[in-house]
Amino acid sequence: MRLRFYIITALFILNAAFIKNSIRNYSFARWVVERNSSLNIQGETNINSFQCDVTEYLRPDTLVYTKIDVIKKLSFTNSCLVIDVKRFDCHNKFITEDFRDALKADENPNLRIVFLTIDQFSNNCNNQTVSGLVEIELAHVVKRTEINYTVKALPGNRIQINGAHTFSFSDFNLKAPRKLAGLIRTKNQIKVNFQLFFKAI
Amino acid sequence: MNKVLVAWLTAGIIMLLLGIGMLYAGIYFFPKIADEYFSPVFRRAGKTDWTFYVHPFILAIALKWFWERYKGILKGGVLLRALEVALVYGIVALLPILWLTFSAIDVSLKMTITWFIYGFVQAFAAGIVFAKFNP
Repeated sequence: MRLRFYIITALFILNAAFIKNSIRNYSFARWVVERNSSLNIQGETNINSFQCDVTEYLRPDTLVYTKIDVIKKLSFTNSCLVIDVKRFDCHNKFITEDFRDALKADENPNLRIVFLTIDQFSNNCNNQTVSGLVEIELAHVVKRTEINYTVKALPGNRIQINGAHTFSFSDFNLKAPRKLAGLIRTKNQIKVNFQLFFKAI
Repeated sequence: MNKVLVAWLTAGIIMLLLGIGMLYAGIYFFPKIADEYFSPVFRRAGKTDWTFYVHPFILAIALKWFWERYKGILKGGVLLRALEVALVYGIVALLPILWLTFSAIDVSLKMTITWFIYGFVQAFAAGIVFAKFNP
């Protein structure tokens, strides 16, 4: 009887210790997306190359995450960036109009980047490379992909995250622009570069 | 009849190759003008692509009809007669229609001039073929 009491007590203490430990290993936080965040898309045609930029992020969005301290993993919940496709400026009115048209901007005005996870993240990192999962939604097509980021801690509890990834128009069931029976054409692959600034709150 | 068909087909093929060649030359030498082809006023490539490749053969029919009707009054050597065909086509057909195009559609003057040169060179090539095949 006494032995059973000791075992139960030991298990209870052990369990409590685990619970306490596991609570300590999780933390919740938020990042507010700063206005100076930017995104650009680089592509090529058989005439020359082009770059389309969105240089400001005007929506007051917040990324909410849970951090698992032991494995330095951030898990995001309902955290996405929404970019108005009509704000892409390709610095050439013809290519700008055609690019927006290729992304079907009238039917699907938003490009959504949903953050899912970031691995090996540390608040004090300095140009550290980390990887994470995102879902990109464009023209009603969602594509999940792993992206490598460079993370840099900035003064004032701010974080800079830079990243790049190469996509194809066909990934989103879109057609790369072609004119004059295909003699003038845009290459299927485009490189998306982003520079995001967040303020931790 | 066989000669006429051969002349028409030859002229059409040569104009098609010249057209594609001039387009790529335009892309290489005048990329800023060529960028304009991305303008929404130009149809996207797709179901109507074949119409582009057929246009030299349509033009060859028209120029062949003109040649058969008026070759008697076009005097001189092959090149001179071909030049006259190109001039007539340029002044009578291209200039007014391109003027109208420029006035109605948002295309630059430079682009319109390239089309004039494009059509003029095509007609000149067709004139050479007709002068050789059906003098």
